[in-house]
Amino acid sequence: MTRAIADFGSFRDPSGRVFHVGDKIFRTVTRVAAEDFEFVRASGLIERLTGDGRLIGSQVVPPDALGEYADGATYVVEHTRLPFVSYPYEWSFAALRTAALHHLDIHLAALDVGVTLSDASAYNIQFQGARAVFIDLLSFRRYQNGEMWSGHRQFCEQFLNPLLLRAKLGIPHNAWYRGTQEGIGAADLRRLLPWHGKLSRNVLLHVVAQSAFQKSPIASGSKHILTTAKFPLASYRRMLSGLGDWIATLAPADQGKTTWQDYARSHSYGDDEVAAKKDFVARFFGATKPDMVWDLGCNIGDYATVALDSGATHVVGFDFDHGALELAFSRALAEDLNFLPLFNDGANPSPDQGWHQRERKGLASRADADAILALAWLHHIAIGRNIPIDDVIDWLMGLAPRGIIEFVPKQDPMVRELLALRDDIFSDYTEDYFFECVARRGRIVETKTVTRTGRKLVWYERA
Amino acid sequence: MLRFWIFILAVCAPNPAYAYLDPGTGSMILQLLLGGVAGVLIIGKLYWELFTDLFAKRKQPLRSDKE
Repeated sequence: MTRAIADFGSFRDPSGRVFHVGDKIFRTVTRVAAEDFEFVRASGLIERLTGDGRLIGSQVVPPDALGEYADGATYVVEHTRLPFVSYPYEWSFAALRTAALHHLDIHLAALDVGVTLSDASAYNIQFQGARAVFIDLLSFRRYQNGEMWSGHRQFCEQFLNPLLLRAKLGIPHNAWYRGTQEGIGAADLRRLLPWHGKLSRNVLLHVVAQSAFQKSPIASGSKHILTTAKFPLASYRRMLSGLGDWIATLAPADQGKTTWQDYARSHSYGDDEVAAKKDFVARFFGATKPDMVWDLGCNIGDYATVALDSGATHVVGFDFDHGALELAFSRALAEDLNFLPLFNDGANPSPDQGWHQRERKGLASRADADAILALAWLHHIAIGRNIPIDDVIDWLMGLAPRGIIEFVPKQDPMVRELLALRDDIFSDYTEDYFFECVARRGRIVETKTVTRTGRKLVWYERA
Repeated sequence: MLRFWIFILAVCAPNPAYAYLDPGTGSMILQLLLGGVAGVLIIGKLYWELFTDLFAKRKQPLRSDKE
């Protein structure tokens, strides 16, 4: 059998481990977790949640599917493969809110059948398109009457507090979350919130009181009481549903009344030029029919939609404009598109990090796109961030064997704006040199000038 | 009068800073609070014990001074 590779993000829980065998995903269930796993399976929860797409697909398979790697495992489960794995520090506010609500929804559904969740890690949520899906089968275990919500603190750190950072202070969670990987602590958020930001029952309870109790001198002498105290199931459910009702109302404090239409109108070219651009993109995807597309600078997803309509199966979009990402995510969710827009700074992509620097994969380690789309993106990196154009093309064409790259010339208003307050030190930033850089790494299949300012689309096939 | 000032000191003493107790302690006490009357009474009892302990601790050196 093909060699199994243990997933480096699944080592924390002794209940089991995830393995990759070729393009298949397996999970072992060890002896310590077997009884809970059997209880959860018998409850019917897995079928119900899988049936409506809320839980990742799974099937118990004979242990020999995993060969020697199944040693010590009572069960081996094969999972449906996700098209792309993303992390909470790459999610937009809307995506993180969707994930938070999904987690609470799963937990409430579990409690209905006497099952609970052992943790509240945001990494247990993934997206298929913009639809949230719970992936950790081994987080489910039998509910013990009167037990507390052990994942509450983690839920606050990994979902609630990052959302409040944006909802109360207008600061996106992404940079902080990427730094800590575990979210934002209640004590830190409490220090940041202004007094009037604390005047809500929910903030007082989940941020102020939780943080104050954590530091309170009664905490040190209360361990025995806390471990034996009972938390009524009705209160448990109220806590989960109350948090859900509240989180559903949270919105970014820094976002005005921006709409898709405002974004669509903010570009500098006319409708006929947009149509020419869309036509080229549609022909490319119609001819190549890629399974996975990375759309760099996806904005609100106009061209991701064209890609999906023309033959692409999945699109993962990347942008650093938080306003555009909110709209793109809401659109993908509302229209049930196979499109996942994520936060990413092209000049500083997500790194390999966490334990052994392998726990969370960097963007390059997840690069399995069949095609890329880099429209109106190159100049932001080459001029906006001073990355040599040769390097940018090298990185871009390394991501996928084929794609479309747009070259925006210096006479275009968008580039003129980037250069308005600075010296033009970009002597290499010319159409000829751009073509030379692409041709050095592959074949130029087709080019088209799509605007009167001279923007050009290039369809490449890597050598 | 001295006892009065000791009482004021005890009440106003800052919370001791614990580097690390239990990452879930704050959440668990909050859940006691949300869990109904019994939980609220337990928290009340914990704070009352803390208050009486502080008072007792402040009282001790006073006695030894007199000795």
